[in-house]
Amino acid sequence: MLYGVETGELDNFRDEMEKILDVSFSAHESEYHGGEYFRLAEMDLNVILQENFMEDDGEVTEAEFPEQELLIYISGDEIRVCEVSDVLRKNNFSLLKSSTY
Amino acid sequence: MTGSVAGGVVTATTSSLTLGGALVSGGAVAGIGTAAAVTSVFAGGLVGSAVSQVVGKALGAVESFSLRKAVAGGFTSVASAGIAGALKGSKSFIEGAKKGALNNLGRAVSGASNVIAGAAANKIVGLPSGFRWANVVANASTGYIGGRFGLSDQDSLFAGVTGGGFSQDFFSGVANSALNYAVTKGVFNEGSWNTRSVVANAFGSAIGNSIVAELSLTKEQKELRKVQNEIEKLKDKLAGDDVANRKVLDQLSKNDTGNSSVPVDAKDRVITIQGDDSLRKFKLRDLSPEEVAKLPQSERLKYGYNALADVYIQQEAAINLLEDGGVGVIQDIVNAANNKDDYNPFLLFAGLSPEHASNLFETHGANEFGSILRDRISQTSANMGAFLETARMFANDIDGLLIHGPNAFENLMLMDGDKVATLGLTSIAGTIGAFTGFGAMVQNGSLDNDVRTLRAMSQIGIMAVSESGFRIDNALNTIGESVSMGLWSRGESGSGGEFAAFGLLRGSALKRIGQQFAKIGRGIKTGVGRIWSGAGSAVKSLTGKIGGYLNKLKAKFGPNQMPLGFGGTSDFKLFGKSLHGGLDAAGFKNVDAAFQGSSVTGRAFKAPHDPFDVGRVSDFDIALSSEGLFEKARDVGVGLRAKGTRTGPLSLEKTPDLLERMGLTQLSAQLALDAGRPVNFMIFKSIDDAISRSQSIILPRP
Repeated sequence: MLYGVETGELDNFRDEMEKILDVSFSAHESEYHGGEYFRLAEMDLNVILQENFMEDDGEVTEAEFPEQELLIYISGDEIRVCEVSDVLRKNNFSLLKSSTY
Repeated sequence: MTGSVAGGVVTATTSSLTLGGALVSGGAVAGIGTAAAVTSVFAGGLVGSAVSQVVGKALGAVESFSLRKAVAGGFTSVASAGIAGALKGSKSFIEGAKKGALNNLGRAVSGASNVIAGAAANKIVGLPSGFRWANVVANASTGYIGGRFGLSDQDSLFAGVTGGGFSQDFFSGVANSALNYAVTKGVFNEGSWNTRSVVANAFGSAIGNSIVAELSLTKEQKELRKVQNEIEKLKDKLAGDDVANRKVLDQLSKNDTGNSSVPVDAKDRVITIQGDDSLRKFKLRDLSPEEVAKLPQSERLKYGYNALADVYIQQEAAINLLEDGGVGVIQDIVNAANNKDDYNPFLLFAGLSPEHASNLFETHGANEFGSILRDRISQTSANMGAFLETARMFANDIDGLLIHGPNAFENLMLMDGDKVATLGLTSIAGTIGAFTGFGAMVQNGSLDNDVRTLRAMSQIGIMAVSESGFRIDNALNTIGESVSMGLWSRGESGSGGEFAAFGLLRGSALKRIGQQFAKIGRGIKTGVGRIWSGAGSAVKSLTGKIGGYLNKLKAKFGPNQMPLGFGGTSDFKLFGKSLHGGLDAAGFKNVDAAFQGSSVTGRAFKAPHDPFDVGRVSDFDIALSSEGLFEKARDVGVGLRAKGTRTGPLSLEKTPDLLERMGLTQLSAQLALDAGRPVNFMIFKSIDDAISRSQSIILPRP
């Protein structure tokens, strides 16, 4: 699932998300993720917080949603993903897209 | 603040609107959201209109000056900026997802709306509105057709602040008026062509644009302006030092430090570290710190560059020796550590105190100790390489100045001012970045604090960041400090110093050329990345292409390399075997793979460009390419980017569904487990596309 936030700064957003979800994100770095990003990796749940950064082709990472500055990717066990998704919805985050496989 | 005034489209030919009111074409206007923004746009419109009237009067196109018309011009510009900003809020009027640019339809709507805004502004100040539907249609057509032909293409230069400077704005204004006239005359059989009015109008609009552009400069652009001013000061200073500088150049040219007689192995790699008499003959390096301090700044720059280049070359030689030297080399290093040799080159380059090194050897054993040394030296070497490259670019500028005379710099500025300024920013950003990298390593404990050379570098880096910012004079001072530091290190050693004692080590001419290409590629790539927001798109494109070309050369012909994050060569080979084996098992044969990102560059993608794995976990970013793999990605619905040359990033966490459809889930999980860090893929149409995009280390097929 992909959620978005229209304005914000990544470091502060990490703090906010840690409070909302009561978890702790670890800091990572990847050129493919646009530099520093934050990651929650559990056995049955993965959450990524990153910027919707401008890539070398002149479009942002999630080009369908250029107005979103920050992105939240959630994957893993369906039940856990739904739990996190519920919390985010209650906190007025925008669901951008979801897929199952 | 992103609002701007550009490319006036006032219908001077029909004399129906306020003469010279600078209007927004909407090409790159994001809207005006603050009082300051509104004020600057209003001022631009007002002054633009006033200038048009003055010029028009001089040309005989205007009978008298009207303050009301000028004020109406201001109101019209504000309204136009607001309209363009509002249009940008709709996807129908912008170019794809690209921020800051209206498409042709947007330009047409903006043009039509501007006529209405102009009429309203005239009414506000008590003038006849001059509204005509013919003007609405003509302006809409002008916006659309002008967009098709690239008139007022505000993306062309300077991040869209203006249409590209005064001259481009002026000629764009004339061209738009011609288009406007063609439509008005051709469709409605109205209007007349008045060259004087057109010229006055375009001139006023361009003036108005320049005022708004000045008021709208972003922080980065203001920094760029500052740098250009600093360059001017530097030019004056260098002109004064010209005689002294020529002497230095003469001396440098007589003291070529090149030496191709260093022993190399069958792979053309340096196999020993030893002294080089040519360095000792280099008289400049026998100067005391006090004497160096008295040298002209440009002379110190050259001196520092050459001294540090020696270190960099030896760092690379040390890495080669650690890879191929076996137990004998390790034993020598351990002996030096046990003898408390602070100046053993391997320990110095690895940033290890003798005590720390002894402990590491006892804890990990010879093989792992060798790997640790190599990884640490690779990190410091990467930082040093980036610094040297930027310093070299600076040095070349100064060479050009001195060789071609005092006016060379000025000529260069006239030919391509952006390029020169960009070069300056690149150099400074690279310098600060490199030293900050050293500083971060020291502060995070990656390097021992008791290695004084590196500690000094750290202090210089902190000073550069906290005190100097992007200033050329401070960057030069920073390099000057490096010189003093090198001398100081030499003095401390008591035997001429390691920097001098080990001299220059060089392989064959081919190896040297390869190293230069590698460093140039890295420097350009690094620099471009860091000044992205402040540099012009044209410069960005050019340097990007050069960087991509050099990256290709480096990846294909450069010395064997290993990404950071591996315990040793065997781990790297094992990882490659797992990757290619997994791809084979998934049905993808003959896949090219290349490491990218911080495991290759040694530094984080974004500022402050922390070293690999310092302060957070650095992922492995791996580019993959084969015809079958790319087709499969497209077939299973992986979105393509960059004109269809690559996918977006694929990872277990972000795109588990896509990896599953590709049949790569198991492989991705296994590689992450093996590496102890996340592994991200990006699939490219060709490996050349990947290498051009980013600095790379090709993963050999087993």
